[in-house]
Amino acid sequence: MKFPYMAIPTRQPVPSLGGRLVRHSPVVPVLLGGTATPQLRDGLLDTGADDTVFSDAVAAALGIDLSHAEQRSIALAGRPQPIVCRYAPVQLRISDGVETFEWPATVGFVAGRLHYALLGQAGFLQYFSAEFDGGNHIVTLTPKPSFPGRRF
Amino acid sequence: MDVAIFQENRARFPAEKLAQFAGKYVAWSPDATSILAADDDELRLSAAIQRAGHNSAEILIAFVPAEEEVLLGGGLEISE
Repeated sequence: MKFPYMAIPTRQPVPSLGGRLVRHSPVVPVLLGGTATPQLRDGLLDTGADDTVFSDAVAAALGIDLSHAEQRSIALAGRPQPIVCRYAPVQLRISDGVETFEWPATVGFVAGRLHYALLGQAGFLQYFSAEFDGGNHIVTLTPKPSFPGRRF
Repeated sequence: MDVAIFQENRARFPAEKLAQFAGKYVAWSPDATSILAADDDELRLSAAIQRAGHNSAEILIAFVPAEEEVLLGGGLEISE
């Protein structure tokens, strides 16, 4: 499965990119399902994130009650104190328009507002080999034998 | 929703038009040629999309940064 990086226009030239007016990030659309009101969000493929994490507004939109969910403290970049992350099972689905992959995953929800959902190791990247082609702005995800879901 | 077309059209969406929604959550049309609705609150926007009769699985909700921010870590929160 191949995904183009998301192009993010900038208002000022980016010094670290030779003055370009655009940045590129490996952001892909991810569908959360398993309830009557599936939700589609941007997800950042983040090899540095231990978990797959969404804002708790997404849980509410899905109709997931987190009041009795298992929880842990996690660290978010830019936040001096850890934040509570509550976990719930969902179905995740990604597609590049050619192939579609869907699988069950236990993901985290946090009260903070995130720029993007984090598609981290647990629940997401653990099931794929990921090749980040930063020069051509393309990320290729290949399912591993351990992939627990279905492809169609 | 055709993901390839969505990504292509979204990349072509005029930056100055998107900037009108800076600091808000937006709901993209399934082909990413237009913004269906916007709100400061993600959950309220999601509910509005549902009420309008859209298929929530086809409507991507995303945040439009108010400032030009450099993200040094995916978990960075939106600054208030």
